Order: sequence, then structure tokens, then C-alpha cells
Amino acid sequence: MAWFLFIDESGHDRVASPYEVLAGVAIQDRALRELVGCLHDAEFDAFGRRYSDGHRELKGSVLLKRKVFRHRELNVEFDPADIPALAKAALDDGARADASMLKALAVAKLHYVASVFDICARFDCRAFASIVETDAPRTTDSGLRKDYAYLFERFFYFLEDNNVGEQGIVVFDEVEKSKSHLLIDQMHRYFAQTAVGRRRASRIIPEPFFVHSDMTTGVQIADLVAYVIS
Amino acid sequence: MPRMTKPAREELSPFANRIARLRYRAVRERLGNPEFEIWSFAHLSDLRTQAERNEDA
Repeated sequence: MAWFLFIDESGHDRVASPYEVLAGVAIQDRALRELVGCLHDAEFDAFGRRYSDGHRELKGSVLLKRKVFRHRELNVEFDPADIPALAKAALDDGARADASMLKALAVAKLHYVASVFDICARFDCRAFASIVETDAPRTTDSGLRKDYAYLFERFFYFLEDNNVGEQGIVVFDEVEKSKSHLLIDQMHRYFAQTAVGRRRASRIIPEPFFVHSDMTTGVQIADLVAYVIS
Repeated sequence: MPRMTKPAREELSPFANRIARLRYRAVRERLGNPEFEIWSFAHLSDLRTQAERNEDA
């Protein structure tokens, strides 16, 4: 048995967010299939269709941007039962979306994000985060970044408190290949060449997986967590 | 978190509260305290190694 730790980051452009956040969401392997199914159902219930069909991504910067909250306050009335149909109409043909559709889409987005976290709680998922001040002095050391080390430390403690046989599997959002290689090298050195890292490697598999965030539900949840915290 | 003092977007607080429920609290012996709490959210104000901090001091 294992726990996946899906990881994503937010705020590293240092433009709109007061903090840089590296966030992880731990999901038990045996819960993953059902959790993904529930999230797909929640997506359909909110939007009347899959939001993420085609080019759209379920990202915090899209679902929770300020404009969404402004649209939620638009001065139009509709029956709450019509929200999925109105939101679907806005997604199907955004160019023709009227105020009702825009408001319904905003309500649907916020409802969906709340559902994601409620479903995570139902499946006993756990959230981890390293929250970094944007003016924090940087390191020139070639070792593993401290925010990653803190995240792995917390994940290790969580695994240690669980069943002995359970391992942790780290899953990252794929970035540029050169950056992925750098991270793999840093993780390898951390888990193989430091005393603390070697101890943590007893529970955390030292080689991460890289996935496309737009196709991986777990990383999308980590993105939402990182966005809200940052 | 108490050390996060920068202004937050108020409209995101219902989501932040939901996320707070997903945190994990570990308890380990640290600094002579057998009940030292280590939450799964960590706040960092310095990314330098201890050696770098000593050099810059």
C-alpha cells in the first residue's frame, strides 16, 4: 500500500501572491480511483459537463481569480437549479454568454472548488505546504531546496504515523525537462547522501514521477491548495 | 498561520478554512519536549543553509 503525494507550486512569479507556496496533497492509493470518480461527478454537477474537456484546465488561477468573484455579484436572478445548464451554456459558447450565464459560471466554479476540498476531507486526504516569504534570502547551495526538504519531512512524519508497510510516492507537475533533471539530481543527493534523507528514504521512494497537470487530478488538487494558500 | 501577516484575499477564506481541515499534526520529541507539534504546513522566511547564514552573519 502507498500514499501518493501530488505536488504543485503557486506564487513563484512573485506578481500577484504575497507568498510562494509548494503544496502537496496525500491520497491513499486505494482511495484514488473512487476519489477521481467523485471529482469528475462534482465537475459535471457544477458545470453540466466536464469543465476540463478540451483546452481548459481546472487551475486555481482560473477558477478563483478576482473576476470570478465579481461575476458572482452580478445583479441578475435565476433559479439555483438552473446553474449547471447556464454554466454549461457559458462554457459551450463563451462569446454569446450573457450576464446570467457568467454569474452561473462563477457560482459553479466556486461551488466546484469547495466540493473538491470537501471530497478530499471525505477520503482522508492530507494537505502539506511550505510557505515561503517572497523576500526570503535565497540559497546558492546546490542541495535540495529547503521548501522541498520541509515538505518531505512533514510527509515522512505522516507516513511514519501510518502503517509500517506504507510507502510514499512523490508526483510532480512536469516542468521543463532540464528543471525536472535538476530536481531528480537534488532529490537523489538528498535521499542518498544525507543522513536525514537516507532515513526518510525508508518511507518515501526517492525517485519522483512527473505528470502533465492538465491530465492528472491529484496535481490539480495540489494546484488549488497552493493557489489558495499563496 | 500566525506568522503569515501579509494581507490575504478575504473572499478566499472559506476555501482556506476547508484546506486547514486537511492539515496533519505530527507529535515528536523536540528540544526536550516530548509533545512537540509539527504541522504539515511550514512557514519559511529564509532559504539559506545554516552554513550560508553563519557566513552572512
